[in-house]
Amino acid sequence: MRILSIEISAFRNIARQVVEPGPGLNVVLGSNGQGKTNLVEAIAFASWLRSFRTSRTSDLVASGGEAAHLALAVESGGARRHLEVSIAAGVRRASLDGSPVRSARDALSALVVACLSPDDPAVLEGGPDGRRALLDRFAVLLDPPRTALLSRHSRLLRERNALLRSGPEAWDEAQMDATEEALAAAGAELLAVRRAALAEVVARLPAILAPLAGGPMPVSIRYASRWAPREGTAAPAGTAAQLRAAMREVRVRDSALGYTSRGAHADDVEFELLGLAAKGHASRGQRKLVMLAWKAAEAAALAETRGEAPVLVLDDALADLDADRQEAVVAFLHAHEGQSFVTGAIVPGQAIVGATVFRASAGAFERV
Amino acid sequence: MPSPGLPASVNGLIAELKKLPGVGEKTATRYVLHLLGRGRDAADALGGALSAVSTKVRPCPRCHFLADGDLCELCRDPGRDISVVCVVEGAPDLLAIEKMGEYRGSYHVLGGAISAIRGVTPDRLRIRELVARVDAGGVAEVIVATGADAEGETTALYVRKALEGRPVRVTRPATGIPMGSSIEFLDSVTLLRAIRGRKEL
Ligand SMILES: [Zn+2]
Repeated sequence: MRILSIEISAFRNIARQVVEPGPGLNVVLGSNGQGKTNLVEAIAFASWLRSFRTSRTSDLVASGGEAAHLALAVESGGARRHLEVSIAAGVRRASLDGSPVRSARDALSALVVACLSPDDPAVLEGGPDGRRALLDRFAVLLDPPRTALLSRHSRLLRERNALLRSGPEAWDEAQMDATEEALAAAGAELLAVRRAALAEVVARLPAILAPLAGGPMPVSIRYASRWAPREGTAAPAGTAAQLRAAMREVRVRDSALGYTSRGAHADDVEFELLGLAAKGHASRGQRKLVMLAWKAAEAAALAETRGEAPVLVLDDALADLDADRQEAVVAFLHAHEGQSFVTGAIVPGQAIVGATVFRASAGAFERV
Repeated sequence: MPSPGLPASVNGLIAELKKLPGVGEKTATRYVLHLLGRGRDAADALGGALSAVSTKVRPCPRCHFLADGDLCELCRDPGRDISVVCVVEGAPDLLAIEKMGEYRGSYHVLGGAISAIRGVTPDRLRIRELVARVDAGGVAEVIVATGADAEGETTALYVRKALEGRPVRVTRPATGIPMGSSIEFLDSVTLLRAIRGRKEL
């Protein structure tokens, strides 16, 4: 899978540009504020129909403009696909080969982007929500129709919370039962999906991380759940029954809290580095390397399950790394099968050799 | 916003039309001007049709689908199997199943789906009426064809619970229904496969 060309209009600081990336490594150079991240954000948006930086579509439209447009020619599954996206305040519309795209799952059928954004390494330091989102996004890339499961689960959670807030005297007991049963079924399904997705990453990450880190870097990543049965000990139906019982038990307490305290929405992905919790112990550089390896593991897993390497986007990947680690990342990118993008203010000389290089300046990308 | 220069009555009609799905200011204005351009008879015919609908159409006392007089067209059809009842959220879902042309049983229109967020409590739906219908006898199977989204799933489970202990098979169309979908928007082939492959709920 690769992007043959991308035409960008009125997107952030990009007035109108046509970029024709190379088939392998693409390096986008430029100082801050010139539009490097805007270019990779546009690429990721075309796949996800969502930005990794903002949830407000109006942020994406160039100031003074009404709508931003993206038009991509993509080679995917041996065919040439044409993906178009228009973005305005509160609106995003997309079409694939001229037919309207209703959800991201359709766009993902033509273009899959595994993307490291500058904010990603911080998820190792932040709360569990960021790590769950990281895993959920990957689970959707593996199998796009899973977006429906995610939205059903979060809707059911809000349904239960709404009932909880009405108070034990007000809620219809049978409605609460039905809501919990549906929520537990969705939660059990989500647990299985997340564990399977995490296993795909965990199976590949250490082998990718070692050369990047310049030697073995013991890392352990574990799906942490306070309610779920141990992995492999219960069928989904059993897991659902267990979650249902767990929620039922704390109904009144949850009602006082005003939210659902147990379930898949409160789970975490725990990272341990060299035997210590990554949170609070890993350095900036280590966090960066682990997340780089995570995204590369995603790309490798996607290549295998979907039969085609995704486009790998690493925004500002080399910052926070010392010269040796930068070289190792560059060597990894050169060896990467499939199309990739890396951005940076300065990159080591080896990055440029054999790569397609663009220089970003005031929203324009000049091939050098 | 009302178009300046148009009489208040015309703006009033435009405002009413705009409440319809898929109709915006432009389309509504176009409809109204077109109607007025065709003269009084056209406007009266539409007005007559509208008032006939509002005075005559009642929910069918058995299935709660739209009916002109007493029972709806479907309930009056002697060729339909009234021992099978397909439960749907709304009339559009019923029409989608009818369009498939395969189902020969009867229906029960709930009038929505349970949602605490939207304030739709079970007693606002026609679940009690469904239970009464089953209790009246002659129903062997209830197919719960509510949507595969959060509200539809919750409603299906609620209906199953409400019918618990009664001598009736309660089934749900197969999981072939894409998750999160509303019945209304499914193509006939998918719908047919889902209903044929229904399972015990
Ligand atoms: Zn009827």
